[in-house]
Amino acid sequence: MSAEISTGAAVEPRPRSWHASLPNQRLLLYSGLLIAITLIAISAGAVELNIPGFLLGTVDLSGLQRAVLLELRLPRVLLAGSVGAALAIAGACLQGLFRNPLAEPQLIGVSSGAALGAISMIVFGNQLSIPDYLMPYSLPLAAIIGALIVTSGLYVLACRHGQRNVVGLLLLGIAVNAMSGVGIGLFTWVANDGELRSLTFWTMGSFGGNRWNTVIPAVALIGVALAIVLPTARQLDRLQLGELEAERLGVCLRSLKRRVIFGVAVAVGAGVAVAGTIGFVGLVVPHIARMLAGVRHHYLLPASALLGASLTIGADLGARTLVIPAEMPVGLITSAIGAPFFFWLILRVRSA
Amino acid sequence: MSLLARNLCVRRSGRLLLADVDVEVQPGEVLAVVGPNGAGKSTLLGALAGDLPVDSGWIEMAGQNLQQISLQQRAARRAVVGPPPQMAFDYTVADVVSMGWLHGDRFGSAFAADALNRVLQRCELGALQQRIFMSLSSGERQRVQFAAGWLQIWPTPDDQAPRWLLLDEPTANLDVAHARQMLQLLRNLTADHTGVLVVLHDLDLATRFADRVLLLESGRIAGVGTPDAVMTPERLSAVYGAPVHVEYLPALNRLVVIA
Repeated sequence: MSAEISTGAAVEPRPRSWHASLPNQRLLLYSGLLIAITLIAISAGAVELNIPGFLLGTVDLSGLQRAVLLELRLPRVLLAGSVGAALAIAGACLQGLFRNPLAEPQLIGVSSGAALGAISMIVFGNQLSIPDYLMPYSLPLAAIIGALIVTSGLYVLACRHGQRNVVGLLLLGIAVNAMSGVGIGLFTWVANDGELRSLTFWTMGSFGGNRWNTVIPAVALIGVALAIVLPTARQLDRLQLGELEAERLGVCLRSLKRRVIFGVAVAVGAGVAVAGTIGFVGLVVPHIARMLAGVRHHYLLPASALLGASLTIGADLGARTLVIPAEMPVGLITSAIGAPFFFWLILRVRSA
Repeated sequence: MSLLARNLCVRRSGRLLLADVDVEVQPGEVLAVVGPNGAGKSTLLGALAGDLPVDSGWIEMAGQNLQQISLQQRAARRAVVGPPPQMAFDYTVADVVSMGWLHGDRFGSAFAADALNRVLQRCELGALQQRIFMSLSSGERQRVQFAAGWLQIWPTPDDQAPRWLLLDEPTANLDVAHARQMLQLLRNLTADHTGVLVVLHDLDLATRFADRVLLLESGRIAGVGTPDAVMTPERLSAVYGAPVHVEYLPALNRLVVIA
């Protein structure tokens, strides 16, 4: 340490070093990836569409192809991208909030809480006499409430039992998942088929069967969730030093936690209400983003959203094209990617 | 215009941790807080930082009641350097230090980068800046913590008001050379209109670098004043319950405390 006296008054302008601008370049790169995968996803499927040709004006689409594009492909891909972004950014936020690399909406029970909320609304909602045109909103709303209850409950418990207990949070998640699982199983068993989707939908997820009337509310709510959590990036960074340390750096913990928990609940609830629970996106994506270009949240949150959208659009593309004319649950594909990753992560955290 | 507490009492689960403590940290001085384990040193620091509710008494910072200053305003005026944190993710040294920068791009990114570089350089962390924080030794982490605290109270062009740096055993994991250098840096900081309160266990370092020493004994002040006045063998031996030797060494031209 040199013994020079600090004044900080004289500032010689210094060119920004190349790696200071690296995260922004990365985000551009991920946006490019997302656009590419979106183009592939709206082109491929049971009905092949030549989208690049159509966009360049060299090919025209038939009436049927236009209908497929506008009424099926576009809403589905938009929904897959939004839900992927929502789950990934929710994972990144939960990991930051709990200061736990293993936090993930599905693993710790936030998704199943949202699913239970949505299912309760379907089963009991007709007693509330909600008009049909509000149904696309009441379902996400109920899911958001379910996710909110689970997230804030988990946070209270995690604080009481010590933040540093990385695996304890997962145990709590197992318990929450088990309890929601009972409710989900019971409701899907009792309810008649017309009012409730299948158990597979709620536990494995699917982007099929959605039209603009369900896609638009979900996308709008996810947009709101992103707007809520993205500005918390710098405060989430400071939270990593510890709660007391963050407060000493001027972070208002109460408003930060409220904001993050609410944002996560809106993101997960809106996604689960229309697409069921899709596992491991929130675990895999933030970790990949960290490995690619660092852990600071002002990079990590947008990067997770972009990469999460790409991953889910890709997984959904697989789900609907691998076994034409049948369809796989999209959660099966994301879990097939995520579960081995989760295994590796546990081993890494344990040895650290 | 100082950081001061009057008649400070802090009670936790029936035990009086601080009893009627008066303390004042003026801009431009280094106040060392010493005392045996459990004497209330960290409690005093926590109370002055605004971390803890106080049961009675009065704390003010630059003439304002601390309770009425927002967290952000406090953070702009004073930095607290505690024990190094455990981090779950791979933040680099530069990431951690720059968390102390609270002004964003208010003075331009060049100003922020310059402040960061100077702090890193003066704390001799330049070579470590791209290392992962959690991969450092505990002594190195402690120096990173200190650098972040320093950056937090870095003088800005629009605000020359006094600032304070509160440190809780910043030398606990440091070797003799780095401990001495850190105390020297604290001394240099006082030229910047900064008041320093540092909790120390090393009585000799406190005697050597502090302008004033506050000796705490089970929540009460057992002595406060210049090192020469406070660091007497009788008083220290009585407070610590073990013989402490204090001697003036003409060769060094200073008091030496040997515990």
